[in-house]
Amino acid sequence: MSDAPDPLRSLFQQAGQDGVRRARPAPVAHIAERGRHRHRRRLAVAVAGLCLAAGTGGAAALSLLSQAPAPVPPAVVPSPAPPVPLPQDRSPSQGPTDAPVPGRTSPPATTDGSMLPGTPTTSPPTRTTPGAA
Amino acid sequence: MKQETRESTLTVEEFEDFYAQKAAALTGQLYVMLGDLQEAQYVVQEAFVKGWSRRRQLDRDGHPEAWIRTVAWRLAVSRWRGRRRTADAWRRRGAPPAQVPEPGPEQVVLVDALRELPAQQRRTLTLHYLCDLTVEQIAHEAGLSLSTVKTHLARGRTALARHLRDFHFEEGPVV
Repeated sequence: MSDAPDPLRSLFQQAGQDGVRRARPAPVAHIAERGRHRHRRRLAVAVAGLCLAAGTGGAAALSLLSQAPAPVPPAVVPSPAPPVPLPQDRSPSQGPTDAPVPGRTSPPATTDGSMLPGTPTTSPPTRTTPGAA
Repeated sequence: MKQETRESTLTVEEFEDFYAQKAAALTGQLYVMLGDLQEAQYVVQEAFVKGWSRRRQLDRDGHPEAWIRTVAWRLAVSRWRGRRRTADAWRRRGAPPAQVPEPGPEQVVLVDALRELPAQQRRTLTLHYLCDLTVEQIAHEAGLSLSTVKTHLARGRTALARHLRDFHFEEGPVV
C-alpha cells in the first residue's frame, strides 16, 4: 500500500465518521435488559423443548409397554403322534393317495391317473412299523 | 479448564464497556454498508442484544467487534425483504432527534453511489476502506475466498470511480 492518502479511503472514513456523529445508540441499560429478556426466553424455550422431548418419549414408551403382546406359554414337548399305517396292498391303478406318506415319493401322474411314459418309478421302501410285528 | 472458560467469558460490565466504546463506530460502519442510518442503528442494536446473551461466544471468537458486525449485516440482509417494517418500527420508537447534523455532500454522494453496488461489494469495500481490514481478514469475516474479495474490491472501486467522477476521484490500485 502506498503512503499517499487514498481519496477513496478518505471518503469512506468521512462517511463513517458522519454515521458515528449522527448515531444515537440506545442506552446500555436498554440493551442489557433486552439481552436478559432474550436470554430468559431462550432458556425457557430450551426447557420447554426438553420437557416436550421427555414427555413424548415417556408417552411413546408407555404406549409400547401397554401394547406388548400377551405372554407366550412355555413350549411343551409334543406328544408322539400315532404312526400312520401303511396300506398293505396298493396297485398302481388306484392312483395316488390323498395324503402323501412320509418317505415315499409319488411320481407325477396324468389326468387319468396313469403314469407318464418314461417316468421312472420308485418302488416304495419297505417300512416296518414298530409294534406291527 | 473451568477457570480458563470463566476467564474467557465477557462479564456484564465488560460487555457494557464494549457497547459504550463500539456501538457508535459499528453503527457508522453499518451505515456506510447499508446506506441507511436508521437501519444501521436498528441492526447494530439487535446484534448487541443477541450478543449479550452469547457473551461467551463473543469472547471465544476473539473479535467481538467482527462478531457484532457480521450479525448486524446478516440481520440487515434478512430484513431487506421486509424493509417496510423498519419504517414502522422507527415510527413507533419516534423520529431521530432534530438536531442531528445533515451529512455533507461528499458523504451523501458516496453513500448514494454505494447503494448502486451489489451488497457484497458494498460490504467488502466498507470493510477494506473504512474498517481497515486486509483482504485475508475480509475473506475470513465474510466467508469469501481471497480471489472473490479481490474481485469485489476491484469491481467496486471501478464502479465508484464512475459515480464519484465529479469529486476528482481517480481509479487506482485495489490494495
